Amino acid sequence: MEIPYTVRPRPDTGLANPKLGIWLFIASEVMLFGGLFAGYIFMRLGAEPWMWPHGWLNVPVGTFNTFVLIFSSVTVILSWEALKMRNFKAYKWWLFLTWVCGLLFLIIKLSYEWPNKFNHFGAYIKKEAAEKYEEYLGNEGEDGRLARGQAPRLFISGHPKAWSDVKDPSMDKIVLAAIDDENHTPKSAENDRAHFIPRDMVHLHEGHEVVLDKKDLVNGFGPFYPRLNTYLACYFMITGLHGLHVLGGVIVFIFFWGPGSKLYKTNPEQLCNRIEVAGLFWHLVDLIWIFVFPIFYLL
Amino acid sequence: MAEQHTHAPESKDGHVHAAEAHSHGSDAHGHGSYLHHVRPYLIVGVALFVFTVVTVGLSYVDFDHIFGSHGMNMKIGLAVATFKVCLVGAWFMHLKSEKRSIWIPLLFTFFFCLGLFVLCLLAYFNPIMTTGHTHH
Repeated sequence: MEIPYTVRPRPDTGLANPKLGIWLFIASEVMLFGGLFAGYIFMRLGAEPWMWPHGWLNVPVGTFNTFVLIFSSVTVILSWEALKMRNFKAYKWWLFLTWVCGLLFLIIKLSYEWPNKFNHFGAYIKKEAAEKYEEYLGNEGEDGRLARGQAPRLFISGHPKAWSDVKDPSMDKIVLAAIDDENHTPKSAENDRAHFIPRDMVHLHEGHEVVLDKKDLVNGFGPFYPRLNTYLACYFMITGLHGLHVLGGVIVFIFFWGPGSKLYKTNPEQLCNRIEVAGLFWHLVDLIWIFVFPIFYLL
Repeated sequence: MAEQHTHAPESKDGHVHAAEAHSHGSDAHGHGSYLHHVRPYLIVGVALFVFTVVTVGLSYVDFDHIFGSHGMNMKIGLAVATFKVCLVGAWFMHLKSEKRSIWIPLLFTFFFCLGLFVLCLLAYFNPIMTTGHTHH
């Protein structure tokens, strides 16, 4: 059975079916991510002042990934244009660059950015135990956070001496071998979290032995997993879903670059429309990232 | 953009005949013609790169302090991001020359999406005023 109007516009809609279909799909995707962003805004506005994490993500890497996605958006449109001009060789090259960029984006995210978080430890201290860890929280005193009119810091993060201590329920203590800037110089105004914190890529201070009593910690302590706090839950949820979209796009492009490109011999215009439709999806993926990057990395 | 191109002839059911399509081989179009078609995309691509750098640069400026108002960095950052999204939508997704059949569902989407954000803000700012009546 042949599907009609794959290339030629339908008289009633004025559009070829795939194009109308992808736009309706894009509309549903906008609602999906719109809902997630709305939830993010709701939780961020509801967070206690000065408590929303800033500067947890690697800005140069995030910026590079943004460049990669924008570049791939340009290359997909160049491949579509090449196909329209019936330049098959150029089409293949541009599409190859597109899926390589998509793959590079995923590799950076999954082999560097996410594992970096999974190897980092964080714990919220119970309010009644805060005094015990004051040296690393910096709340008290004339130059403390409370005197500066801020909410108390109740968070300690760094690298544990042994992850087995964190995971083993029979161990009642966790020893941190390195701590983050916020806990190393807790009274420094540079570590206040009202805004984005520009800083060096490595800000971990080694040579410390901070002993944390598990009974002093709020449940959920451990690696920077989504369950640690709302920020990480939003970050992994939204970047994870976005990553799945990137993966979907990469698979489609690899198909049209490889076996799917045979369609050029029999019906190049239909292949052209397929690339246009896949390209529209890819631009949506780029478009979502344009919002994801500043809200999680920079603002 | 898409409408400006000369398409290969199609059959009545919307399919292109291979032989006719091949007559539009790469020889038929010059290199200059290709560059002419892709120039706007390259310009928009460069603009997106530049505005990404601008977004990163602006995040290092404490606008909250400069304007004395909380959330200014967020507003400015999101304004730049929205501008970038408009560039992608208008040029890369061809919305600037797209048909009503696409615009109308998108307007609905925009409206409902905006509704989601407004509902969140309503919940946060809680503008429903009490009437002053007390319950007995």
